[in-house]
Amino acid sequence: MSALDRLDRLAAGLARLGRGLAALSCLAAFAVVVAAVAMRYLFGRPLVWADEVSGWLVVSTAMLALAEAQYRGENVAVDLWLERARGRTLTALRLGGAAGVAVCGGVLLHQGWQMVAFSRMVGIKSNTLATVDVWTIQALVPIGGALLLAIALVQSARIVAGRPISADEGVKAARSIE
Amino acid sequence: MTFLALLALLIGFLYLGLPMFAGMMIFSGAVLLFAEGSLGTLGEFVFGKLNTYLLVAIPLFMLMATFMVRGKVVDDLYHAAHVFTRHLPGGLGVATVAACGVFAAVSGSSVATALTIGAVALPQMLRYGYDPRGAYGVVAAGGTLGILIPPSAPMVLFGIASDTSIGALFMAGVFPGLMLAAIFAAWCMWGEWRRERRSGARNRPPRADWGEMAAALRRAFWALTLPPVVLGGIYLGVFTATEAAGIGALWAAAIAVVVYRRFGWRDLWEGAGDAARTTAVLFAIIIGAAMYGFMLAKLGIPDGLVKLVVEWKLSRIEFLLATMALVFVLGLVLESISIILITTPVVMPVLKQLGIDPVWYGVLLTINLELALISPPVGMNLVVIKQIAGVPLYEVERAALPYMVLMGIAILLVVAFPGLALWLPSTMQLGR
Repeated sequence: MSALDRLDRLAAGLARLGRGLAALSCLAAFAVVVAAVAMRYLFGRPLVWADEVSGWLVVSTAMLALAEAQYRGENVAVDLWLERARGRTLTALRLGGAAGVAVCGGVLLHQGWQMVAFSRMVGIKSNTLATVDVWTIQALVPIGGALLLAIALVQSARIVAGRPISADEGVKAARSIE
Repeated sequence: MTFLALLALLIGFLYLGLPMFAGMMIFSGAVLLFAEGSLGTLGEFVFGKLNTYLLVAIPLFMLMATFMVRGKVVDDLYHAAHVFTRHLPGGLGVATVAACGVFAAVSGSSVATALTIGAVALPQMLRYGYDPRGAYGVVAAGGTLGILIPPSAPMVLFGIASDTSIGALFMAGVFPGLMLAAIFAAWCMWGEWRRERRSGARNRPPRADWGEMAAALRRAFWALTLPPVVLGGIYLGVFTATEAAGIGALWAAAIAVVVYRRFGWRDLWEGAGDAARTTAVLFAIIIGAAMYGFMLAKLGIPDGLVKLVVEWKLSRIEFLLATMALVFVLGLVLESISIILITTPVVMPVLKQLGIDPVWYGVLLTINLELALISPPVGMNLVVIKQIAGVPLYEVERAALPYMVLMGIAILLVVAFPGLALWLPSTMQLGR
């Protein structure tokens, strides 16, 4: 197995891990919202933290699943030229796409890191759960950025080497958001 | 002019094939760096955009749709619709529109509606000799009802971007959605009636008897309870949109587990994974489009547009029609979510200035976005039907053309009669 294949396996593992954690976050957000409704109507005791926590869980869902969406080629793109391009033009366009995502991952990692450092320095706490440091939640942004960067770099390397990437077979199912 | 120039540049950039979120982030970041010298506090900006309680509704509505699809309740919905409409001219088309309308009320997604109903309806329509072009057109167009009949992911996003009540937007989509469904159904009936008259052959099954109708209704009953639970809860002020999404997902899971017995732990886990991935894709676009909006605001473009509208003395209707024309053009080159998030921050100040109800505008925008879903070259529903039917894209595009005209008529009707959209929200139990 070549180094690129090993890297691709690592990327697949990272993407799957992110997806698993994101699925858990999504189910947890579902549970929190349902519990909040039940507590309010059935027990007359609203969960004051439910709105804030479900918001965090959705940030977690989105940031952690982004890497797998990229790995599977599900991020929405206008691929009219891409579909018609051949040879070097096609390679250049595909490389541009993967490299562009890597840049975004890097920016999210860098800017997210700065945000976390600032929140830690100031000691910002949650509004409804006073024991929770906000930086622990904000850390999802640089973590998601790092995962995205890793996947996009592996894809870029494979495109340069003329190897197929998993996204090539991706079923653009993500477009179901429309 | 600056807005249009930046928009054209962005579209050109996106056509290089980058994922949209990356294209918008890089383009906006580059303009910001050029104009302001820094990206500002991008980390906080991203976290703040995603950490919004109202956005929680989106993964939960997706979860609800996933549970319904994995529970395979669609077959029963389509069967019931067919039993009730099969004696009509174009009965299969009418059944498809009806099934799309009901599925739209449990999915919030047009592509999911076209994909799910199309997979069930298209083979049947073709098997029973329905005109293929008519079949492709009605499934592509019927699928678009997914974003107009509530719940609707694009309406949630418009509500957040414009600070408009999502519950009111959902309610405002009900009558225009039903009207559009009725227009589509009438078109199917008229087309088939004309075909029957030309050929002289009448190939319709007999009207179903009461027993058959009752049996079909019994099979589809539980799936039909979902829209009243979700929409009734919002309408009566019992739930917020986010809570309705959570309760809807719970109800959908209960139906799939208890009634259909086709839903296990594996479906739950995979359904959550699917919902998470789709959420990530959508939220990435939100980040990119929010950066684009942030960049436009920094350059003072929304304020400039307000000044322009005041200078030109545009009336409400003139502005609405001009905006709808712009959205239509954008719909030819961009997908729906980006259009909402790119245009809303620019248009909102003008809507306020002209006294246009954002709920009314939101419904018009949504119908226009439906139009985008069946407009070449990037209409997603066209691609879905092409994949299901295995026919060339141009054939599906031609099939969808009459429905584009019908949607244009629907937009004009809602412009002419705002009450179509605004009456139901005005009767809601809670204020906006």
